[in-house]
Amino acid sequence: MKTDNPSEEQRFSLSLSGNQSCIQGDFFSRPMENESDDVESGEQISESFICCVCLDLLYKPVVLGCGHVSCFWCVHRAMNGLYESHCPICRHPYGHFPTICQMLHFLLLKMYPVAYKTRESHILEEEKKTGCFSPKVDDLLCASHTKEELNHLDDQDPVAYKTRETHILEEEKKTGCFSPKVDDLLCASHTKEELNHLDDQDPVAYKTRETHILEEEKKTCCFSPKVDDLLCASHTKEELNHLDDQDPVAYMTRETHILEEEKKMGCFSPKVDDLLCASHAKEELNHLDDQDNSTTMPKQITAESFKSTLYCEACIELAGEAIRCQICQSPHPGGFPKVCLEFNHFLEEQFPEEYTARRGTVQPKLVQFQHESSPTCSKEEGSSKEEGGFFPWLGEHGPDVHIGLGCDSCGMYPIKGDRYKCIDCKEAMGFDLCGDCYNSRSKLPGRFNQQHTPDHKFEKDKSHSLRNIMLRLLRGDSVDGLLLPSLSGDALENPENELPLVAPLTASDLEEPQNDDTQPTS
Amino acid sequence: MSTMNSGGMSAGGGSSRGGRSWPSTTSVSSSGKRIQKEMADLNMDPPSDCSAGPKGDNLYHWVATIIGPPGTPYQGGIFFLDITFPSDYPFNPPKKSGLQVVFKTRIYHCNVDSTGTVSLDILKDGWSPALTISKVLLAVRSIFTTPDQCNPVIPGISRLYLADRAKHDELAAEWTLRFAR
Repeated sequence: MKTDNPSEEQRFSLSLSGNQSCIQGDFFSRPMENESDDVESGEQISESFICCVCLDLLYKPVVLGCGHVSCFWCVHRAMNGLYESHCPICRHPYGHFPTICQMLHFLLLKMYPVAYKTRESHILEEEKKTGCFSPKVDDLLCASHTKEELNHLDDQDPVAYKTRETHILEEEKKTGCFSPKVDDLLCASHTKEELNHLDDQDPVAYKTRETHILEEEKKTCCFSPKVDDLLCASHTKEELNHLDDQDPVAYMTRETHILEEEKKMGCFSPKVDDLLCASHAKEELNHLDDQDNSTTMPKQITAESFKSTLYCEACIELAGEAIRCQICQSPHPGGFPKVCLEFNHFLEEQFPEEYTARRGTVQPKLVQFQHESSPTCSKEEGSSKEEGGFFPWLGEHGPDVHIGLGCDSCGMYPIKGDRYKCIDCKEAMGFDLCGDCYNSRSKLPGRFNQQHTPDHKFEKDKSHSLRNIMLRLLRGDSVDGLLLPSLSGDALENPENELPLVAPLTASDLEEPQNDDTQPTS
Repeated sequence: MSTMNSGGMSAGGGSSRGGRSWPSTTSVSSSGKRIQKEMADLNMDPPSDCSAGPKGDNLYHWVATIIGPPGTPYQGGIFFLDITFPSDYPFNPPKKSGLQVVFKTRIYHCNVDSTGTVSLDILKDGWSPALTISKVLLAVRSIFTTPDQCNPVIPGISRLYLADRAKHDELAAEWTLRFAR
């Protein structure tokens, strides 16, 4: 027992009985050491970026439909494998596991490089231990990169190219003020560009590319220390928008915007600081807005939870009934997403003037927008009234809930309805699709880095459906390790499943035929 | 096909090959880290009239004290609680192995059973991973001032509270005097 720390002794000096007073001092000092680590790195992490579940810096942030943010693994672990899940903060129900928000990921990486990297290495260690890995965001970035380049090649429109050219020129001037080292990512993009070069057959395009590369080189010469990931990310995003954008008006606004950016950046030039990074992020947001080809600037940022891409509130277009992500074209499950207050607050704090200016300009649009979206909202509310608890929910979705299994495409967890299991994926994690995603031939990669390819074969699998598990329990088969969380009543904790297997019935006697429609997907 | 080999979905069960996909294992280190964080936060900013810390070397076993709030029959009493963290803390505590908060000091309260176990909605179905020990202690402290009449574990005390508040308070104060000082 340690008594050398008087403050701890004081705190527990109240303790009366001997047994309870054995509180050791070293437990108190240990976390304090961790604290000092953070201080050493000189990074004061804002409250907004502390995950509510692990109480640490957000790592691979995921934004839920209600606008609350948490880490990838924290959200995953907090989800309920049997029933719908609820937001840890507001208990807003949701049934789909969202993907990582890249923009926020890069923002955090930029703002707290040391803390974020430490988190990364810690999480990676844990992941290695469990053998389950979270998706690599950088890979995703690369994927989008190549996509962009494809667009590039597809683009034949000279007008678009011109605008690109001017844009890149401006970019370079801007980056000229930058300093530290040209890092790996930049290199990667370089080689990519060169590849394009070779691929490019269009002479006009070729010319523009050439000038671009030349400028690139100039840029890299004056560069010194690192051009970081975020810069790259925003860079690529911009290119994407550029290509997509055909509207001259939108272009003008963009151009002026970029110019302003540059002026701003000029003042910041000595160090690439948080603000710069954040302004980048904001630019991206504006960019997304440009796709809306409106000259008004929306006000708030809403979390689009499925793809975890952030949008301005007014930028979410309602295409029929389903809200689709404008970047990945995935439909958004659940109700209308809410504003991510933490991020909203962050932007307000970092860019008070711009943010209020934007708020002013977007107000009319927002009103109109709310008017338009009202039918959908009321519909959502109507349906949410029905959810009264576990049993009504079970009644609705019935025995076709696949306990503890999630769809790797849309993220539905647990899967309701049909479940298709990949028979070629060797990972312990497996790869599953829900009926809808199977039918839509979704090509998205797995949620946990599975090496799934489109030529893998699927089979319909019911082994985890509630109906099946109930039947097995009734027959006294073992359902080893299958935990049925929060099922009230002990119906499923049948003691029989510990008895030796005597049931004469085979599985096929009671169940519907399994694996009846094994089909290859292409 | 593989109907039997369903891997452990439960925390710490480990995922075996085959049957199941998404993992829900929580490594001990991540829960340990979180408990350490909470400990640091508690030290920095302790909730009023409460204190908590590990008992012995076991990070998963804490002892806490709550001082009976003034203006209640528990005024002046010092109540000791044992807190046991589940291995998958802070994720959904299932019925039995969730976060357990047990009064070591005897208390006359309709939400505390004869073994001292506190019955609180947030410790059962109402649990959220965003809750912390400090919030739980505040919730426990709040039932001193306003007992939860909707889910009493000792209906007799609840009935008395509703029927004859003065008598209830007198008994509670007597218990506090006898056991909590």
